[in-house]
Amino acid sequence: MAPKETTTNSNSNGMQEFKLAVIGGGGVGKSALTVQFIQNIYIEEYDPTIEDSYRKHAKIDDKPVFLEILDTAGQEEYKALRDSYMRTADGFLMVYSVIDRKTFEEVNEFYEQILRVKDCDKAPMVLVGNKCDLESERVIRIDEAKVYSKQLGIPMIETSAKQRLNVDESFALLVREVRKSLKSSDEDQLTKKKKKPCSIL
Amino acid sequence: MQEITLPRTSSTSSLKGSNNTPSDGNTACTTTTSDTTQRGRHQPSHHSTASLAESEIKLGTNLLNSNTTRKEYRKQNTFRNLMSTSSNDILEEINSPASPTTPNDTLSSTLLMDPKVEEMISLISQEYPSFISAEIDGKMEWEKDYELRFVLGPSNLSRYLGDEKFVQVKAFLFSKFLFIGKLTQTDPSMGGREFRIIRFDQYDWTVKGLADDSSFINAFCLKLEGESEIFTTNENSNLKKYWLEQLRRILDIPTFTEKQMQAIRENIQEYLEESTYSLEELQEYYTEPISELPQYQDLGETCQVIERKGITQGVQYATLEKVFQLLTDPHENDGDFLFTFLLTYKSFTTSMEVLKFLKSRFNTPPPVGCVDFQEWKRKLFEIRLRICEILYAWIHNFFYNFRKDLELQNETHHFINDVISNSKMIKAASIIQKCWNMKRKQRETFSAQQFQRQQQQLEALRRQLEEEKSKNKTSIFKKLFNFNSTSESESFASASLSISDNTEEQLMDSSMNIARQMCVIDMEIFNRIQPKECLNQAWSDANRRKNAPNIFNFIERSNHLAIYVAFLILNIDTPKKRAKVIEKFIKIAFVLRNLNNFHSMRAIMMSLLSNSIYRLKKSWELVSQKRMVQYKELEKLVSISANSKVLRDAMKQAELPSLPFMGILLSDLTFFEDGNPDERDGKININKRYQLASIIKRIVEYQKKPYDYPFHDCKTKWSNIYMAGRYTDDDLYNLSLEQEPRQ
Repeated sequence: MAPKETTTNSNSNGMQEFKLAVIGGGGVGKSALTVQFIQNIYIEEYDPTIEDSYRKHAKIDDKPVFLEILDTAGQEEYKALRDSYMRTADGFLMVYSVIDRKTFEEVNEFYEQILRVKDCDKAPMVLVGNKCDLESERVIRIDEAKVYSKQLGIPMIETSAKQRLNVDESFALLVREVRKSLKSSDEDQLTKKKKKPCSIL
Repeated sequence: MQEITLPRTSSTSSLKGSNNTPSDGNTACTTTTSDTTQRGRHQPSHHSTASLAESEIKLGTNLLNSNTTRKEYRKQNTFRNLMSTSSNDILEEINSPASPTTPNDTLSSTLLMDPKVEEMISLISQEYPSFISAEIDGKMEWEKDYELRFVLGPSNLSRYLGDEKFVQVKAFLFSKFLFIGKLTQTDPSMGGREFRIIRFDQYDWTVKGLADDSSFINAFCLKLEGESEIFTTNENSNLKKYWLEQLRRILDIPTFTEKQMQAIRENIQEYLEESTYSLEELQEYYTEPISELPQYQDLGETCQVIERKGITQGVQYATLEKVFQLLTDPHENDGDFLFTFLLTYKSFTTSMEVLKFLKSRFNTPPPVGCVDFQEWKRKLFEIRLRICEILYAWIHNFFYNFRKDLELQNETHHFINDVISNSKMIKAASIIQKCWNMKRKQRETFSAQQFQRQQQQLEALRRQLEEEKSKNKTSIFKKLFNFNSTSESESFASASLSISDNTEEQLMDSSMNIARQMCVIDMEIFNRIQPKECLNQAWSDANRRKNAPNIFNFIERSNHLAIYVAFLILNIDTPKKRAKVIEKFIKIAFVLRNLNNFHSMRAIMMSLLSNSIYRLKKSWELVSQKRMVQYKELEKLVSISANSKVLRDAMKQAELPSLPFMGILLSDLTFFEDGNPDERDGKININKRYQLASIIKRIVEYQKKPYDYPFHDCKTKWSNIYMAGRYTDDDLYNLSLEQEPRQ
């Protein structure tokens, strides 16, 4: 196998450091979600060309964490890019738009691909239904999404990047998932179970 | 006068006893190459040339008897006559005894003389005798046939050094560079002069006029990514206008050519000389009764200007009316603003509104209480010239706006032929009309049809593969992979003959030949991309095949290459041989990187990093150490960590010709669009449009310099790899599992 990109989960200060990928079809509002999360106070200009435009320090459950958001919005059509980009990430926000059924159906494809890339049967993921402010145009009911997320065994949340609703919450949910999986893989190693821990961790 | 033989060994003796009078034109010089690290993406990657792209050359003080072979220098007495009085003032200042001579002025020894620089210096010395001799360490890279063409100057400008400090400079504009000379302030012991050559063809410069404020009056800004050169014209706003006009022309923002402009000005001149003393006489210059024209209201400073580090960067927010005013202000000759406006106006107004405003501004009546009609007429023609320039640039560069809009076509036709033509601007009207006729004859350059045909073929091949798959459920999957499988759908059979499914056959040519071929083919596709495809995320919505066919095609090219590369690897049955194929592709990717083709390099890396290839443990173990080192390097290059910093930097520093990894530019366009408001408090976010336009301008820059490698002697073709697009990721993954089953 080709040498792996090493994924560190803590930086030199011992602070947790996660790479979170925002995944979803074109037009689901991924980029808006990322921008809203990175800029929690209203800053007039967003410049995506600089190094820090996708990084953020956050405190989740009273524990500080350094997050790098991997968002390739605009590059969705580079299909062959996905594998390597998924391999780099520690956790995934799988975003669909509640007003576009196609984007909801695409989630399964992403889900399968993530598991294949990670080469294991579980990875930290959160299902995110964006654009929930557009109630009148909604085609994906929250119940339907909940049933589906239960099937996948992952949490789900509805957001509105436009109204800044549940933006931070969705990322916090994912950080918790990543932490959970870290912990369980540690336990795996401690108890020397034969089960192979996820390759990312 | 003594003769100099170059390179000189020493000129120490001649430097002694120098004399600072301006008439003594001979100047020994010393050269220091300036800092070279902070340049933009056109910077040559080799330091030796980079340092020369913008050299600061310190000239020693004037030397009474110093050496020269150039007879132009002897013309010094006539040079003085050529200069304006104000220029002389500066000259006196620069040549004042404030510059002491020291025996240190000996650095000119053993320096090479670039013939082009020599020619330039002699040209300048005709105008400005104190800059007599200069030498540059090494060679500048000029095009063979570059003819030094003097454009404008000498002008007295002030160069802004930050912290409200200015330095007086003498500026000359040549067709490809700006030459700025000044007194050496930084090192008084040198007592010399310094000059700086800014070569426009090596950096991404843009030019902007700056609004007058407390720190700048009559100022303009030459802007490179991340830094600015701000100049203030010392005389008047007209000088600023000339500089902007000429700089804009040089920086290739296409409006009228110099020759056309001259013809138009000559045409107007006779009317300007005619005396106009009354409103009745002025009426002759209007196509409508003056009394019925709406008054023009100057909105003044109703826009929000952004400042960064104390430097005015431009307008950030403005109302639509203010945007129109800025656009048509004859003194705000900002080419960047014009390009940005014409590219993006559809996001905040309509073509018809723009035309309506241009018309009404063209017919601006004299202000209430105006008595000096002669003066008003002069002003009016300046405004009208600007309107004509805008209209010309609009038609010339953005004709697609007119193509399907009959009403707009009619109105524009009326404007050119009834209004402009009948307002004593017949020359301008005829030039614009000529451009219009030419554009109308031209077809859109899209090869959308060809692209569509490819897509149809691909669809048919995909269907065929699906059918075969369902028919042969029990057969070994691998057998389905045959590009040349004879199919019943004969219509597409011929096309499938032009791509090889035999790995060894396909990789017969040298890596260099294959890489070069890819460069040429990729560039052909890339060059079709139109600015309008880059807006409103046209490439990612459902109508992308219609609205952004060329961007889509360019992306598809890299997807198909990635699939084809994976296929050629997976097509081989033994790990040892597969390792050889992987090695070959690492080498090709490495050559592509050196040829600055980030597009195909990225596609091959995508393929090697895709699951189907990445998991081939047995094969990767057999890849040679040497290739593995290169692979690691490329893997770092394409890493998306830190916002793809490594790849971004490499792309910026690459010399042209180059092909970008378009994905990064598309992401930036997406985030600039989604991350910034379109307007605020009813004011349009102009800065956002500037940012979008700046990325699109980069694409246009790449398109200007194509690869020109010959590849007709290549044994294999890489043009039809779209045929590989029939296979899905799943197909490849299954093939991968078959070659190296899961353990």
